[in-house]
Amino acid sequence: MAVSRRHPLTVLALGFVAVIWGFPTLWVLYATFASPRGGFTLGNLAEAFASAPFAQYAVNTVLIVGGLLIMQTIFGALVGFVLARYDFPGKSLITGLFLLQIVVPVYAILIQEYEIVQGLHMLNTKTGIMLPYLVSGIAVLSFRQAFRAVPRELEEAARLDGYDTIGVFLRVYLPRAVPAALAFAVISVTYHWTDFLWPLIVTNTASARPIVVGLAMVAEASESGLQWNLLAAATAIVIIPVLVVFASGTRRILSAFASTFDW
Amino acid sequence: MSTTVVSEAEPEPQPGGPAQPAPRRRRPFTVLGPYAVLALPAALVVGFVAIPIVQTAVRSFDLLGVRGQVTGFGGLSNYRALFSQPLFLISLKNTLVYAAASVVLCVVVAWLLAQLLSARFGASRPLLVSVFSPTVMPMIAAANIWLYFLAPRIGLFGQLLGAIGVHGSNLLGEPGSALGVLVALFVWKFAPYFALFIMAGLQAIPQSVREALRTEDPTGRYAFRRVVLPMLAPMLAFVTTMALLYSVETIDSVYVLTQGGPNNGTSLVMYYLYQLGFNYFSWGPAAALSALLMASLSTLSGLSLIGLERRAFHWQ
Amino acid sequence: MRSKSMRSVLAAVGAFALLAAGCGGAAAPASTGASGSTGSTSGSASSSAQAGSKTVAFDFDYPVGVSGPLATIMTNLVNQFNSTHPGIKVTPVFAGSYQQTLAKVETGIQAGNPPPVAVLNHTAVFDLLHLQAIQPLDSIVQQGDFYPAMLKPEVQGHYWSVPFQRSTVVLYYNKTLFQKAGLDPSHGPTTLSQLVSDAQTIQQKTGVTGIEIPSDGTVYWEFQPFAIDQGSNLAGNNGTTTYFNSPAVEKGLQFWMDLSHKYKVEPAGILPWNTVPNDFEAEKTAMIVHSSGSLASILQNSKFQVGASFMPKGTATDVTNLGGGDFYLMKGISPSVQTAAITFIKWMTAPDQAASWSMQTGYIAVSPADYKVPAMVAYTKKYPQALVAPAQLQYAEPELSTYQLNQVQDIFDSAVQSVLDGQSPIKTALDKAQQQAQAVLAPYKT
Repeated sequence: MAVSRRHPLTVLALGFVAVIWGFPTLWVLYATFASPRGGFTLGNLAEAFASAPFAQYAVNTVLIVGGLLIMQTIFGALVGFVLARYDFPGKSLITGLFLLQIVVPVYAILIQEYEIVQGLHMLNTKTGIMLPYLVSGIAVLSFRQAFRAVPRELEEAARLDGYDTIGVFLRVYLPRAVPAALAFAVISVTYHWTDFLWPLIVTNTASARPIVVGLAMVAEASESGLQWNLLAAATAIVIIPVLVVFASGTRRILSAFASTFDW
Repeated sequence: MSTTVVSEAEPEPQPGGPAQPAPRRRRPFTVLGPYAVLALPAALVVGFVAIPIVQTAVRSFDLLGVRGQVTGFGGLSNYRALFSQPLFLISLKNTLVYAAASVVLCVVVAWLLAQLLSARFGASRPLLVSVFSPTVMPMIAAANIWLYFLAPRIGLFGQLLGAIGVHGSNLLGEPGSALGVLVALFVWKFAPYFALFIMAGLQAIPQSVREALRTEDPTGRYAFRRVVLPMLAPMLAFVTTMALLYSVETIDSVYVLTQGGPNNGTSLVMYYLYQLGFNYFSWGPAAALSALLMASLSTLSGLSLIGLERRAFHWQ
Repeated sequence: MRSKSMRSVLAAVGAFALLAAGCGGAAAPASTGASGSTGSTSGSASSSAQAGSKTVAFDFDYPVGVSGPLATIMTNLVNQFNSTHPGIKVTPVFAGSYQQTLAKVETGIQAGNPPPVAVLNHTAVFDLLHLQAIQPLDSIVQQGDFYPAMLKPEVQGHYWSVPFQRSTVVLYYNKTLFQKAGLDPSHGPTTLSQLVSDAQTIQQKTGVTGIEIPSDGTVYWEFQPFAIDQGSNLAGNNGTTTYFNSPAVEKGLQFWMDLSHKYKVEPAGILPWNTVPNDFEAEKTAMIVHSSGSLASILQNSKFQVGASFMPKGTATDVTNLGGGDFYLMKGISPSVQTAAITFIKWMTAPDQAASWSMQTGYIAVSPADYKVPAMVAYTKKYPQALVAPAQLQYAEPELSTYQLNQVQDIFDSAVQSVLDGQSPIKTALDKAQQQAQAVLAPYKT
């Protein structure tokens, strides 16, 4: 573990690592902005934007990912609170139900999920994409863990001050779950905006299609072969925003990943 | 809406509240409240997880028509049809090879990365951004980048090889090397992510233990085997099962890079399920494969949770 | 108020549970039938009264090879239709690749609300018939003056689709390199042996690879001319017969292998459909076999004289095969939508529109009349290469088309790839493919 900071081998290894993981992405960004005649160009980017409704894909993605985050957080906080602080008959059964949601990934029951969404006439809608994900077991367990760590005395004190359950929940518990909520937000957003197969089979058209599915279609074979400059530019459109966000909050985002399963 | 539910059974806050004993005040909530709060989320999980699980199992024994409708009871006929498809057996074999290689390499590389980076974790942002950029981007984008990189002749990879005298490299054009590319992409995408968990595990080793080890066992060999490894074992078990789960779920990279080819050499089970269901409309075998995948994926993720439990996980 | 909100929560939960149980129990897609389409968001056809005049509105799903400019061209064309046809409003929906569009239409059929009109691969006819999804379009086809090759084969005594975006397999060659190598640049090789000798000459004189034939994606399509040339197509016209292991297919595949391994004029292994045109444009190969639809982008990206010619042949007659998409009309739509849809299909395939679509996309126009439209005459004068594909049509054979098409095509493609990769001898691979295809098709034989 005690790798020396200055050891030349370490520096070499770090350089190697940076090149292996960073270079392909840099190359695609370079290909996007480098004009074939030399110099800088926005032409590829403009062409990619014109080739598919990326703006609409992006809006769809924001609505889907944002909507899911809100719903998962609300459900997660409420259920987590109840499971952390109340005893009632059937509690372990219900806890097991939310664990089941973690244990059985959507991919494992894909075709049935598809048939349910089809039965609800929600194919090709953003709601249809969101439905199977509305409740997140990971959110429930994260909040439960955060709420458990809140000292009972704080709750008692608040009750003595005249707060009812909802007041205690809002004033005492929720503020102390903010770090867990933020960590969960990173996980949820990363998972859902990169999700591919489920939105692929649910969506038919640009009205509901998220950006990752739109991006995959650019890479598809076509009559006249692939337009490689478009492929690079479309990929750049998708990754530049996330790289900017990541670069500005690198450490916080990384520690959120590491605490994903810190229940 | 749900927040009002919480207050549902709660009596009006009384101005002179403190006089009333707390347990009595909370009782109505304990009787009804939890169920009212849990009803909707639990119903959603029942509707979108529990029922589909049962349906997936049941449907695999039904006879299915051309439009996917149930036409009768078929017993094991769907499973028989599935196992008689040569492509299924090929996909199964591909998936085994792919998953084994991916998981082993991924865990080893993640371990090395964790060693290398834990010394530098607070240090260089460009390094962290470059190593973890694959973690935050979608697999589709990562696969596009690799497609661009590996395109025969015009891709940079081919040009670099050409510069050192190796011509005609076409990694995606041959079944073995195409599967190798998928493995490499998986490791590239997920090893840094798993390294984060291993780093967290390393950091959880108390400072005092580390210092004691450094003085008493400078070579680190004994310490590694007897102290570090046992402390990290549950975390490694968790990372391994997660990697296995992710590798069996792989479809994005296949969709972009190879579409299962060449010569079905990269057809993985998840991709094959997609093909059966949404390209071949071959609902019977698809239903059987769904049930098998459900069983294996759920087992894997259940195992990874048990790995977590051994670390610090509380059921109740 | 409180108890009221409590009741509504419980009611909502109860309703939800019922709903979930309901679809769990009866989620079979077709069980609800077409009646289920009323509340659907992807419901595709509707009639609405607007200020006295009735407007018929419907969706039209189409695939395009490249999502980019072609989507804009299609939207413009449809807008033009809408503005010249008051009372009809067509919404073009770009659904992805051919395969994706077909998948979307099929799921629409299963859910009981297909788009009334779609452009789909013309080879999808058997699967669409099996789903009982399409209506015959005999009247439009018989009134039109389409190239007869595009109407083959007639299935169950009807024409089920109207030709729209078609292409053939052609040979592109680099005229400038031909000249450099001392070959006649006015035409490409006309026979298979000439193909080999030209390729060898070019490799010796210029060092550029002789030829590249793509072998991923839809391999069967580029391969078909080589089999037809030897005497047999890959399949019959009834949707269930395949000839994957016929001697002609064997000979054709042997020639493909010989190009790499015996004559060494083609790189060995599998060449991607997507990069072969790039190699040609970058003068890394002197000849390629590709779709006639690639002409526009090849012309645009090449800095040398581009030649397009018929496929070289090993026997007396020229050969090629057709590919591309046709208009289909779905079943189960209202009479007013049906009338409007037929008007739309007729208009889209009429000479002016067909010529415009062809010029902008590189697809073959569907009728000889299209090539007499003044704009088209001017265009083909400028780009005579665009006349190669229509001239080929009299020799064109139908593209591989069967029931369970995706599966059958994949079986053949994998067999060819296993041979190219050296994993399997020709005879073994083709026998296996034939046997697998017949197993898939057995339930469809009557």
